[in-house]
Amino acid sequence: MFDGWSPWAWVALSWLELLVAYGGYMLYLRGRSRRLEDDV
Amino acid sequence: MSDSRNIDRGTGGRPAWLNALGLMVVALFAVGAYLALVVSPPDTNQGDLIRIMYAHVSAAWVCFLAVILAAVFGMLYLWRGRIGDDIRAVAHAESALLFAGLTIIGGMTYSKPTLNTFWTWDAKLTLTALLFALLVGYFVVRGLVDDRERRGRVSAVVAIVVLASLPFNWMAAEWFRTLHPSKSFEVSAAGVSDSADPIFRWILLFNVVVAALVYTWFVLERSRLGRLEAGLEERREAVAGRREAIDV
Repeated sequence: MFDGWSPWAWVALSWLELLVAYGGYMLYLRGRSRRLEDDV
Repeated sequence: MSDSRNIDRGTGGRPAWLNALGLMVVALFAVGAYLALVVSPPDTNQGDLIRIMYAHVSAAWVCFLAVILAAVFGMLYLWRGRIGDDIRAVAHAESALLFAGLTIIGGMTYSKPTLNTFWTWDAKLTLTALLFALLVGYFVVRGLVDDRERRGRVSAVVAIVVLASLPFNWMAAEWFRTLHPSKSFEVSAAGVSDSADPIFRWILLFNVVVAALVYTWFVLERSRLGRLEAGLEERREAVAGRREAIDV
Protein backbone atom coordinates (compact mmCIF):
# COMPACT_ATOMS: atom_id res chain seq x y z
CA MET A 1 0.00 0.00 0.00
CA PHE A 2 2.84 2.40 0.87
CA ASP A 3 5.29 1.23 -1.80
CA GLY A 4 4.08 3.77 -4.33
CA TRP A 5 4.57 6.76 -2.03
CA SER A 6 7.05 9.38 -3.22
CA PRO A 7 9.85 10.62 -0.90
CA TRP A 8 8.03 13.95 -0.53
CA ALA A 9 4.86 12.16 0.65
CA TRP A 10 6.90 10.60 3.50
CA VAL A 11 8.52 13.94 4.26
CA ALA A 12 5.11 15.65 4.39
CA LEU A 13 3.75 12.89 6.64
CA SER A 14 6.64 13.20 9.11
CA TRP A 15 6.23 16.97 9.47
CA LEU A 16 2.45 16.59 9.68
CA GLU A 17 2.98 14.23 12.62
CA LEU A 18 4.86 17.00 14.45
CA LEU A 19 2.10 19.50 13.72
CA VAL A 20 -0.65 17.14 14.88
CA ALA A 21 1.23 16.15 18.06
CA TYR A 22 2.17 19.71 19.05
CA GLY A 23 -1.22 21.15 18.09
CA GLY A 24 -3.12 18.32 19.75
CA TYR A 25 -1.23 18.61 23.03
CA MET A 26 -1.62 22.38 22.97
CA LEU A 27 -5.41 22.00 22.53
CA TYR A 28 -5.50 19.43 25.34
CA LEU A 29 -3.68 21.84 27.68
CA ARG A 30 -5.99 24.68 26.63
CA GLY A 31 -9.11 22.63 27.38
CA ARG A 32 -7.72 21.53 30.73
CA SER A 33 -6.78 25.13 31.55
CA ARG A 34 -10.29 26.39 30.78
CA ARG A 35 -11.94 23.75 32.95
CA LEU A 36 -9.56 24.45 35.82
CA GLU A 37 -9.88 28.22 35.65
CA ASP A 38 -13.68 27.81 35.75
CA ASP A 39 -13.32 25.70 38.92
CA VAL A 40 -10.88 28.12 40.53
CA MET B 1 5.35 15.63 53.89
CA SER B 2 3.49 17.63 51.28
CA ASP B 3 3.87 21.25 52.11
CA SER B 4 1.09 23.67 51.23
CA ARG B 5 3.62 26.54 51.26
CA ASN B 6 5.09 25.05 48.11
CA ILE B 7 1.87 25.39 46.13
CA ASP B 8 1.55 28.60 44.23
CA ARG B 9 -2.22 29.03 44.08
CA GLY B 10 -2.45 30.94 40.84
CA THR B 11 -5.97 32.03 40.12
CA GLY B 12 -5.55 33.97 36.90
CA GLY B 13 -5.08 32.87 33.33
CA ARG B 14 -1.86 32.18 31.50
CA PRO B 15 0.71 34.96 32.09
CA ALA B 16 1.46 37.30 29.16
CA TRP B 17 5.13 36.25 28.98
CA LEU B 18 4.08 32.62 28.50
CA ASN B 19 1.75 33.64 25.66
CA ALA B 20 4.63 35.62 24.11
CA LEU B 21 6.95 32.62 24.42
CA GLY B 22 4.27 30.49 22.71
CA LEU B 23 4.06 32.89 19.77
CA MET B 24 7.86 32.96 19.47
CA VAL B 25 7.96 29.15 19.46
CA VAL B 26 5.33 28.98 16.68
CA ALA B 27 7.39 31.43 14.57
CA LEU B 28 10.62 29.49 15.19
CA PHE B 29 8.88 26.23 14.29
CA ALA B 30 7.90 27.76 10.94
CA VAL B 31 11.53 28.85 10.36
CA GLY B 32 12.79 25.35 11.28
CA ALA B 33 10.32 23.75 8.87
CA TYR B 34 11.39 26.19 6.13
CA LEU B 35 15.07 25.33 6.68
CA ALA B 36 14.35 21.59 6.64
CA LEU B 37 11.91 21.53 3.73
CA VAL B 38 13.28 24.29 1.46
CA VAL B 39 16.84 25.32 2.38
CA SER B 40 18.33 21.88 3.14
CA PRO B 41 19.87 20.22 0.07
CA PRO B 42 18.94 16.58 -0.65
CA ASP B 43 21.38 14.05 0.83
CA THR B 44 23.67 12.04 -1.50
CA ASN B 45 22.32 8.70 -0.23
CA GLN B 46 18.85 9.46 1.11
CA GLY B 47 17.80 12.23 -1.27
CA ASP B 48 14.83 14.26 0.01
CA LEU B 49 14.16 11.71 2.77
CA ILE B 50 16.90 13.45 4.80
CA ARG B 51 14.23 16.09 5.60
CA ILE B 52 12.50 13.52 7.84
CA MET B 53 15.69 13.28 9.93
CA TYR B 54 15.31 16.86 11.18
CA ALA B 55 11.86 16.07 12.62
CA HIS B 56 12.70 12.59 13.94
CA VAL B 57 16.08 13.26 15.59
CA SER B 58 14.95 16.49 17.27
CA ALA B 59 11.91 14.71 18.80
CA ALA B 60 14.11 11.82 19.99
CA TRP B 61 16.71 14.06 21.66
CA VAL B 62 14.05 16.13 23.41
CA CYS B 63 12.36 12.91 24.58
CA PHE B 64 15.64 11.89 26.25
CA LEU B 65 15.96 15.32 27.88
CA ALA B 66 12.37 15.13 29.18
CA VAL B 67 12.96 11.67 30.68
CA ILE B 68 16.11 12.90 32.46
CA LEU B 69 14.32 15.96 33.92
CA ALA B 70 11.24 13.92 34.96
CA ALA B 71 13.57 11.60 36.91
CA VAL B 72 15.56 14.52 38.39
CA PHE B 73 12.39 16.18 39.73
CA GLY B 74 11.16 12.76 40.90
CA MET B 75 14.40 12.34 42.87
CA LEU B 76 14.03 15.85 44.30
CA TYR B 77 10.51 14.95 45.43
CA LEU B 78 11.79 11.78 47.12
CA TRP B 79 14.48 13.85 48.83
CA ARG B 80 12.61 17.03 49.83
CA GLY B 81 8.96 15.97 49.66
CA ARG B 82 7.87 19.25 48.11
CA ILE B 83 4.75 18.99 46.01
CA GLY B 84 6.18 21.52 43.55
CA ASP B 85 8.83 18.96 42.55
CA ASP B 86 6.14 16.32 41.90
CA ILE B 87 4.17 18.80 39.79
CA ARG B 88 7.29 19.54 37.69
CA ALA B 89 8.13 15.82 37.41
CA VAL B 90 4.63 15.14 36.00
CA ALA B 91 4.95 18.03 33.53
CA HIS B 92 8.25 16.65 32.21
CA ALA B 93 6.93 13.06 32.15
CA GLU B 94 3.85 14.09 30.13
CA SER B 95 6.07 15.78 27.54
CA ALA B 96 8.41 12.76 27.59
CA LEU B 97 5.42 10.56 26.70
CA LEU B 98 4.42 12.90 23.86
CA PHE B 99 7.95 13.05 22.42
CA ALA B 100 8.46 9.29 22.87
CA GLY B 101 5.28 8.68 20.84
CA LEU B 102 6.52 11.13 18.21
CA THR B 103 9.93 9.42 18.12
CA ILE B 104 8.34 6.03 17.49
CA ILE B 105 5.82 7.21 14.87
CA GLY B 106 8.44 9.47 13.21
CA GLY B 107 10.96 6.62 13.22
CA MET B 108 8.47 4.34 11.48
CA THR B 109 7.80 7.06 8.91
CA TYR B 110 11.57 7.37 8.32
CA SER B 111 12.22 3.63 8.34
CA LYS B 112 9.66 2.50 5.75
CA PRO B 113 11.04 4.45 2.73
CA THR B 114 14.72 4.06 3.74
CA LEU B 115 14.91 0.51 5.19
CA ASN B 116 11.72 -0.89 3.65
CA THR B 117 10.12 -1.80 6.98
CA PHE B 118 8.04 0.09 9.54
CA TRP B 119 9.23 -1.89 12.52
CA THR B 120 11.56 -4.64 13.66
CA TRP B 121 12.09 -5.95 17.19
CA ASP B 122 15.77 -5.15 17.39
CA ALA B 123 17.53 -3.62 20.42
CA LYS B 124 17.10 0.08 19.64
CA LEU B 125 13.44 -0.10 18.65
CA THR B 126 12.52 -2.51 21.43
CA LEU B 127 14.18 -0.26 24.03
CA THR B 128 12.27 2.74 22.66
CA ALA B 129 9.01 0.78 22.83
CA LEU B 130 9.90 -0.17 26.42
CA LEU B 131 10.58 3.49 27.24
CA PHE B 132 7.14 4.42 25.89
CA ALA B 133 5.46 1.58 27.81
CA LEU B 134 7.20 2.62 31.05
CA LEU B 135 6.04 6.21 30.57
CA VAL B 136 2.47 4.97 30.06
CA GLY B 137 2.98 2.94 33.27
CA TYR B 138 4.03 6.15 35.06
CA PHE B 139 0.58 7.66 34.43
CA VAL B 140 -1.29 4.40 35.07
CA VAL B 141 0.40 4.22 38.50
CA ARG B 142 -0.53 7.84 39.23
CA GLY B 143 -4.14 7.08 38.34
CA LEU B 144 -4.23 4.13 40.74
CA VAL B 145 -2.94 5.86 43.88
CA ASP B 146 -5.24 8.32 45.65
CA ASP B 147 -2.89 9.55 48.36
CA ARG B 148 -0.96 12.54 46.99
CA GLU B 149 2.34 11.81 48.77
CA ARG B 150 2.36 8.11 47.98
CA ARG B 151 1.42 8.86 44.35
CA GLY B 152 4.39 11.20 44.05
CA ARG B 153 6.82 8.72 45.62
CA VAL B 154 5.72 5.70 43.56
CA SER B 155 5.73 7.59 40.26
CA ALA B 156 9.17 9.07 41.09
CA VAL B 157 10.50 5.51 41.37
CA VAL B 158 8.97 4.66 37.96
CA ALA B 159 10.64 7.77 36.48
CA ILE B 160 14.02 6.59 37.85
CA VAL B 161 13.46 3.16 36.25
CA VAL B 162 12.75 4.90 32.90
CA LEU B 163 15.96 6.90 33.34
CA ALA B 164 17.93 3.68 33.96
CA SER B 165 16.91 2.40 30.50
CA LEU B 166 18.17 5.56 28.77
CA PRO B 167 21.94 4.81 28.45
CA PHE B 168 21.13 1.46 26.80
CA ASN B 169 18.77 3.20 24.37
CA TRP B 170 21.30 5.98 23.59
CA MET B 171 24.11 3.51 22.89
CA ALA B 172 22.01 0.68 21.39
CA ALA B 173 23.12 1.32 17.81
CA GLU B 174 26.78 1.00 18.89
CA TRP B 175 26.40 -1.86 21.37
CA PHE B 176 23.90 -4.15 19.62
CA ARG B 177 23.06 -5.33 16.13
CA THR B 178 20.23 -3.09 14.96
CA LEU B 179 18.70 -1.70 11.80
CA HIS B 180 18.84 1.78 13.36
CA PRO B 181 21.81 3.80 12.04
CA SER B 182 24.48 4.91 14.52
CA LYS B 183 24.55 8.48 15.76
CA SER B 184 24.83 11.06 12.98
CA PHE B 185 26.92 13.42 15.12
CA GLU B 186 29.46 12.73 17.83
CA VAL B 187 29.33 15.09 20.78
CA SER B 188 32.54 15.09 22.84
CA ALA B 189 34.73 17.44 24.86
CA ALA B 190 36.26 18.54 21.56
CA GLY B 191 32.85 19.71 20.30
CA VAL B 192 30.42 18.37 17.73
CA SER B 193 31.93 16.40 14.86
CA ASP B 194 30.51 14.65 11.84
CA SER B 195 31.51 13.70 8.35
CA ALA B 196 28.45 15.21 6.62
CA ASP B 197 28.07 18.66 5.05
CA PRO B 198 27.84 21.23 7.92
CA ILE B 199 24.52 22.57 6.60
CA PHE B 200 22.79 19.32 7.66
CA ARG B 201 24.24 19.68 11.14
CA TRP B 202 23.21 23.32 11.55
CA ILE B 203 19.65 22.74 10.31
CA LEU B 204 19.35 19.75 12.64
CA LEU B 205 20.68 21.75 15.61
CA PHE B 206 18.24 24.59 14.84
CA ASN B 207 15.34 22.12 14.80
CA VAL B 208 16.55 20.52 18.03
CA VAL B 209 16.52 23.97 19.69
CA VAL B 210 13.00 24.61 18.35
CA ALA B 211 11.77 21.22 19.66
CA ALA B 212 13.40 22.03 23.03
CA LEU B 213 11.57 25.38 23.12
CA VAL B 214 8.25 23.69 22.25
CA TYR B 215 8.93 21.27 25.10
CA THR B 216 9.81 24.15 27.46
CA TRP B 217 6.50 25.85 26.69
CA PHE B 218 4.58 22.59 27.27
CA VAL B 219 6.34 22.03 30.61
CA LEU B 220 5.78 25.59 31.83
CA GLU B 221 2.08 25.50 30.91
CA ARG B 222 1.59 21.99 32.34
CA SER B 223 3.34 23.02 35.58
CA ARG B 224 1.04 26.06 35.86
CA LEU B 225 -2.00 23.78 35.48
CA GLY B 226 -0.50 21.34 38.00
CA ARG B 227 -0.18 24.13 40.58
CA LEU B 228 -3.81 25.18 39.96
CA GLU B 229 -4.95 21.55 40.38
CA ALA B 230 -2.94 21.10 43.59
CA GLY B 231 -4.35 24.32 45.06
CA LEU B 232 -7.88 23.23 44.17
CA GLU B 233 -7.34 19.75 45.65
CA GLU B 234 -6.04 21.30 48.85
CA ARG B 235 -9.05 23.62 49.14
CA ARG B 236 -11.45 20.70 48.58
CA GLU B 237 -9.69 18.69 51.28
CA ALA B 238 -9.92 21.65 53.67
CA VAL B 239 -13.67 22.02 52.99
CA ALA B 240 -14.20 18.27 53.49
CA GLY B 241 -12.22 18.47 56.77
CA ARG B 242 -14.38 21.35 58.05
CA ARG B 243 -17.58 19.47 57.14
CA GLU B 244 -16.36 16.41 59.05
CA ALA B 245 -15.56 18.58 62.08
CA ILE B 246 -19.07 20.12 61.99
CA ASP B 247 -20.68 16.65 61.70
CA VAL B 248 -18.71 15.44 64.76
